[in-house]
Amino acid sequence: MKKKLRVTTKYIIISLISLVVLMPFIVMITNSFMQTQEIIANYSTQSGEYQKLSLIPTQVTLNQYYNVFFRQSDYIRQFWNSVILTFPSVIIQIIISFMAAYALAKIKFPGRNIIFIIILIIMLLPIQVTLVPNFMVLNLLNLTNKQIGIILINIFSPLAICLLRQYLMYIPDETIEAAKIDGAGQLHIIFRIILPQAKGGIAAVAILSFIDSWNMVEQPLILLNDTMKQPLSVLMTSYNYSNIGVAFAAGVVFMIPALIIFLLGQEYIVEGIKLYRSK
Amino acid sequence: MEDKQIMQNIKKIIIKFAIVFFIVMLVLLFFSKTVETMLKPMVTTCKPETKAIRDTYEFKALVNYESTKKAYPEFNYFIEEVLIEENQNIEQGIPIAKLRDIDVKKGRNELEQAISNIETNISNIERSLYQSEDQEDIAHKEKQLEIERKNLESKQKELELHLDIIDENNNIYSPVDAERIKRELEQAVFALETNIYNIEKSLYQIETQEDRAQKEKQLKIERQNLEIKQEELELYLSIIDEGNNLLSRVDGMAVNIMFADQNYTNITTPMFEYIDETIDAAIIWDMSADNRKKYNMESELRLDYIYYEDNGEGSTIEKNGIAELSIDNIKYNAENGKYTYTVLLNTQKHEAIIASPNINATISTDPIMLENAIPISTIHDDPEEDGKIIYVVREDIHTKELIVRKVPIIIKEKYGMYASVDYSFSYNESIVLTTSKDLNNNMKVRLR
Repeated sequence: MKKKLRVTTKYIIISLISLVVLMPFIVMITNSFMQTQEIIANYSTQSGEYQKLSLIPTQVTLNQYYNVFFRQSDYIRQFWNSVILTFPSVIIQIIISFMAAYALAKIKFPGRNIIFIIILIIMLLPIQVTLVPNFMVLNLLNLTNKQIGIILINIFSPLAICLLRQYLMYIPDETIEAAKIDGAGQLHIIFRIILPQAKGGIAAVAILSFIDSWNMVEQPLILLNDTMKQPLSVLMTSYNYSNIGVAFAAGVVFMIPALIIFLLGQEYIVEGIKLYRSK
Repeated sequence: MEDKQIMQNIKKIIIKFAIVFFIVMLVLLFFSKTVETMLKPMVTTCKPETKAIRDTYEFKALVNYESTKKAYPEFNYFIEEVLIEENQNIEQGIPIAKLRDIDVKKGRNELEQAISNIETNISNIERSLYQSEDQEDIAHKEKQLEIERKNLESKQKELELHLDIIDENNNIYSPVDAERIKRELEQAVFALETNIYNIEKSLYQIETQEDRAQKEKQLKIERQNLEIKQEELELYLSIIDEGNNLLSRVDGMAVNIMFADQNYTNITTPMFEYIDETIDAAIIWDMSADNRKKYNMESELRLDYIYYEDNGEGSTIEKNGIAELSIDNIKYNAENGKYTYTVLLNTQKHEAIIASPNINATISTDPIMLENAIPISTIHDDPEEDGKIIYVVREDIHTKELIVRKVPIIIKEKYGMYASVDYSFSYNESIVLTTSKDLNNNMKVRLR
């Protein structure tokens, strides 16, 4: 009885926390089906506070989605800008991070630990700190206001290297030694032996990297002056009170790719993070 | 195992959803721009400019006459057919009406008969007034009569002088001589009076002075009547031609026909109203006090009128004419609180305008230079604040799309359809003139 009460209490607390966490998503989804007038009426401010928080639309409408898809082509264009910036970044980032992680985890060379520490330090730096140097470098390379500049910045991820390094550390060295004895070269070892075993870690890193790139705001805002080239995440910040209804619908659509990626690889994320923490 | 299968199925569904989602987004990438463009409000734009603006006021002009003349018939007629129309130019001697032959002859006979009667009357009066002597005898007698009257006057003065002398100083003559001289003088006077009476008797019939004066007066009247009737006959014969047409005696333009076919007209009823060069015609119209401030004596008046021209084949063709005139007078009309404008027309110089059945008048102000002038129709009331706004279209430097921006402005000066505004326009900004939908701030639009 005591145990049952404890479990029940635990579930109630977890449910309440979940509700708090999920509330923004619930509000966003339900409000995206409301009429503009209803949204404005709900969120018009009175003495600095919203009048009320409404979850159930009085009249369900797809008007906000219609506006997103057909009245504001910027949204679609910048959705694809996000895709263009995110997918190459993630793919190249995985390749580079995997290579770096393999070297740090499995190849013994002088200064290996120092490099790793440097990477760790870089990982700890907030992204805003590196913005200005990044801008200066890209400016020197004449890559400002170009999407390739953003991709170049994103392909180096200390977090991805750390995660993959930790993951690769769990692969026994003996496996590599055995492959070497059998006459396998480094590339053969990497692609035929290590890569299949590191699939979970790579997936976890890919998902985290995707979400990170998908949601990036500061870099494109600073490095891409041309709004035509900016990703959707930047446009999302420019929605204001007058088009808050569109912002809800746009938020839902913006969330879908990240949600798909997360649902497809959620087990790898849990696994990857678990391994990183356990080390 | 079963859970794994469920997870696999869920994953498949997610993958399918993801594929569909991206395909839809890809399709939308190509079509949403087109759809969005189609749904954008279409606008027309204009640029602010320095404008020389004239205010214009248009109206249908009516020709007024200061006065018209009326043509009356000289005699009573029965009009068989009217031969003139309104706005027809009439000259002296042209047929204006057709008369019946019987009436014409009857009228002439009546006049001739009247003249004959008067002549008879005159002859009778003259015969009764004078004896039938020849003129030489009458002249001689009249001369003799004058001499005798002078002699009589002389003798009467002599007698009066003699009587005065006797009364004042009798010592000049003896009483006997005085009496004798007096008697001789009285006899001379009497003799002369007798002579005068005899001469007068022989000159005139014996009648009283009153009768004579009466007859002389009657004679004079009859002579005057004769003269009048003779003039009437002469006139009668001159205003009716051989075809029994009544001829005009006036020059001018008939503006109102007042007699009709198969109707009697008499000398008290006008046949038609007309204007000639002595008549003042004018275009007169009223304007409000506000308009009075704009349109002054220096304002130009343009008249678009219609006139008819002979095409050389016996018919006329309609043509459009333009005339520019100046305002001659502006005066306040207290009855209606408006200002009456007058433009005088010369009946000869502006004959075509006066005769036009339809005149469109346009009065224009002097040009006024407006800086930063935009059409008033582009200015709206600000629904949020008490002020005026315009919608400005600007091309986004990145997207190249046209974005509408709400801009508060201050109107410096308003004139006619334009207003000068206090706002610094950028070179790449233009003002929304018309729109197919209501506009909001930051709305995307397309040009019509």
